[in-house]
Amino acid sequence: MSGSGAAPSRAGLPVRPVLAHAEPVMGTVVSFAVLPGDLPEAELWSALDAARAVLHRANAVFSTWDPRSPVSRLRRGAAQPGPLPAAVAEVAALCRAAREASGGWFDPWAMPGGYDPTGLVKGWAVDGALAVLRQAGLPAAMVNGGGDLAAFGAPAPGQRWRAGIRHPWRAAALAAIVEVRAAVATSGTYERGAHLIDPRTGLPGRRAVSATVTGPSLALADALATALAVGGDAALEAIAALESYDGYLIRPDGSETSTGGFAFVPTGQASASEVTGRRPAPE
Amino acid sequence: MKTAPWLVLAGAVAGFLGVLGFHRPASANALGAAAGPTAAARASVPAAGPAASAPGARSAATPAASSRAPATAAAGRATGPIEQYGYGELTARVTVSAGRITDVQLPVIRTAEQYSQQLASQVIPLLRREVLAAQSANINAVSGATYTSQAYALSVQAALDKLHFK
Amino acid sequence: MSSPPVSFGVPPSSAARNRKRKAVRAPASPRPRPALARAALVVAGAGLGATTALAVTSETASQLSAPGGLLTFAGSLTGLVGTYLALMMVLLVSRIPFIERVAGQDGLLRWHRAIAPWPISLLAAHALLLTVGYAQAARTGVWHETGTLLTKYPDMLTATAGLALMCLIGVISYRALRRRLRRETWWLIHLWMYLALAISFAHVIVLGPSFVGHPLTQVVWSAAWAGSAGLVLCYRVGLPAVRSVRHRLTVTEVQPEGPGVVSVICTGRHLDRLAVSGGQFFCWRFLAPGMWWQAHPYSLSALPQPPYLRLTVKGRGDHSRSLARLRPGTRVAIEGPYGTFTRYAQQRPRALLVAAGIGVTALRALLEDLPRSAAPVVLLRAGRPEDLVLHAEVTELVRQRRGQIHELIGSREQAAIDEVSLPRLVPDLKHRDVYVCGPEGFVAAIVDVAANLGVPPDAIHHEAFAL
Repeated sequence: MSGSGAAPSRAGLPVRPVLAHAEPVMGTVVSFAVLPGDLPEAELWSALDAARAVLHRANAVFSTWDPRSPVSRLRRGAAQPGPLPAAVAEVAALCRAAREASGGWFDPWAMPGGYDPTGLVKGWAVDGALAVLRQAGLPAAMVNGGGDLAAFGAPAPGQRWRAGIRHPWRAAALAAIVEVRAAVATSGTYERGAHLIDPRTGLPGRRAVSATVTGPSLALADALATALAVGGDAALEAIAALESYDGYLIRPDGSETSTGGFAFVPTGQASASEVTGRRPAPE
Repeated sequence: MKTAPWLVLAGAVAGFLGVLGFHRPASANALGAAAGPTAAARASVPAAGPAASAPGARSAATPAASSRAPATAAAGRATGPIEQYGYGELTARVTVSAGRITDVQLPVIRTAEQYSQQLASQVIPLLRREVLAAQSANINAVSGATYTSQAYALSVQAALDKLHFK
Repeated sequence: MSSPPVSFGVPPSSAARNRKRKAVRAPASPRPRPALARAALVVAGAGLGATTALAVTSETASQLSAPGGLLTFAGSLTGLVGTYLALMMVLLVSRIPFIERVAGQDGLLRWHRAIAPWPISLLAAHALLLTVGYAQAARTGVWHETGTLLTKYPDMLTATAGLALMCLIGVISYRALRRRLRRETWWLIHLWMYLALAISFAHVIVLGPSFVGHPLTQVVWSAAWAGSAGLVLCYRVGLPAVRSVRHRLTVTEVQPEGPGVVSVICTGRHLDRLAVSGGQFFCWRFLAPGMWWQAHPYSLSALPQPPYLRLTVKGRGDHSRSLARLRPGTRVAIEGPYGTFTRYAQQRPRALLVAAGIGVTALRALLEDLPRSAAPVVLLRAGRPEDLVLHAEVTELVRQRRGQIHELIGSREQAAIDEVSLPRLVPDLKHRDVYVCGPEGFVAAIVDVAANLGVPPDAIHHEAFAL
């Protein structure tokens, strides 16, 4: 389901049109916000189609809910109908890197039921979709995979893409606003309950209610956000040691902390009465 | 009555086929009817444009809009597309006045199954306020733990984008 | 008390009647219409097909492949079909006249008992399948999901209570358990089924995927339930109440007829408007202390002679024995008339009527309904001569109709009706409908004998008196 902004007349309108599209896939809805720029319509739509295909291919290979997917078969040790897709090895390599980078707090091999790369796959798929859009020549685009988003370019001249981080329990409030330099991923227990497993104990982890990680790669940010949600402050230390990744977490008691480079947008620029700002008092 | 089972069977087949034949067109009509009540509001506000129709039809309406006040949208209503995200359908009606969202309503809620039930009773009222907060914070997206209410937010975002709202 | 005993006897022949005060007769019950009953069967089947289609059309292919999708669909289907069958069960025993006239109260009860396991099992499966399916969709454990279903969904607590009640009623209706309960206790618990269905109604409309957002389906479903409730109220409660009030029956006299057998004669108003056919029965509720909460079926032992009704009963159980002690002036409430053991069932030109013991009562009333040219053959079976109750009346009626009567008195070995003796007594058996009335064992035996002798099943009509 898509909608288009005003057809751009070439006479510099102050309003840049944005094309929005919603794609239900991977158990959520992935939204696209795209600046078509000077790209002809046909190329624009084919780029979008290719981006969507990336998402659906990822779902077909990695879905742990579809018993026919190669990863599902891998998990239960069933025979594969053919050779494993190259994507499986690529994701496994990323998972190994993420495990090392997160100090072991993200560990798909320690998940109940077998190897489960779900914490990284969504970000990796969105990365792939965004790359397709970039290669097609679009000036700017943002892809939001149900809360984990990646973007490039400028939505309006001189502006950066901005994302609000949902407040875990305060309705109508944003916990913070972050500038999207490349990727923002958030993980939390307030939507699906205790589904984040602590790899050290095999039990649900509860050290953070909401964890956000920013960085150049959404795949890694996705995995690190999962690690941060499970590991809390200990995982934040591991992320702080990483060069281009930053984290921000909200603990169950309401207190917050973040790494030094986290790109908060100061409240003054946000001009909203209901935004709580960077460091709200704990409840 | 010896023929009793046959009579029941004959009736069952007839009833089954009857409902099967009747049901499909009805649900399409229901979808159309859902978009109906907002059509009148939409028609009177050219800037808003028919939000629920195909993209192609949109561009026909917009050249008129581009000649009007550019940066902010005029007052009007737009209904986001009806999102089918699994077990229910959501669509959002956004009221804009002087370039700001003043109200968000869900004129059509068809819910069944777990997620949708919880959506209807708990999450949607929260989201309404969240949307109003989000637009005043001037953001393009919301990052959070994944949830199907994404469809709702997306409907609003789609509606916003159609209104050229930034 | 000082008035002479009511002589019920046999109505005089028409010649004598014309000379005396014209005796008023009650009209016969309406003729059964099999075509209407067949149409009702088709409609019931159509409802079943429509309900199944509702379940099928409420799911899409993508929903089926979603986690828990298949189980949820199965849960939906079992829920809808199970509920529909429960509705049919209610309608079967709602005593709708045009159905009862064709199928008979006992036939309807037999169907009711036969279908009974299905709705209960399907609904129990429905609850189980949906709980597991929802748990899979929400990716939580089954117990957690049960808690969520019960607490976070509207009307689910009452629906669960209704299901539990239904299962309880199903369990106590098992033969083994039912025998241990007093009949009244069992029946009172069984009545709660109406409540169970009523409190389960809401959750279907509010939660079912076929209903949410489909106002037409909601309206039709609600109308079906409301209509059924209306039928139950009308024909199970309303009509009997109206009849009892209109006719205002009271016990006038209790006459002994033989060892352990009494005739109860009741007086009522407007009995010329009570349409009864010979062979039918009422459910009698004598409003006397200790008896008012029970209603028992007894056949009329004669066609109504306004203002009098008569039933003849053998004291075998608590209730029938207490009839002998009924005091005149006791009010009586009736439900009925029910039964297909009437002349309408006759298809061949002649009839053979066979009765044993107290079974002669229905036979005696049926005889009165047969025309003068009927020439029936009547076989009466009894252990001792004094067990032949109403003998004089039966003999007179048979004589009036130019028929034959045979009394077979003695033990089962001495005076059996079997494949040898029956053809001898009734040579033209092939041209007769066979009416049998008496204790269960006797009826079963005679039906067997008749079938073995080549009488087709639709020519055999029976009424078994059980305790």
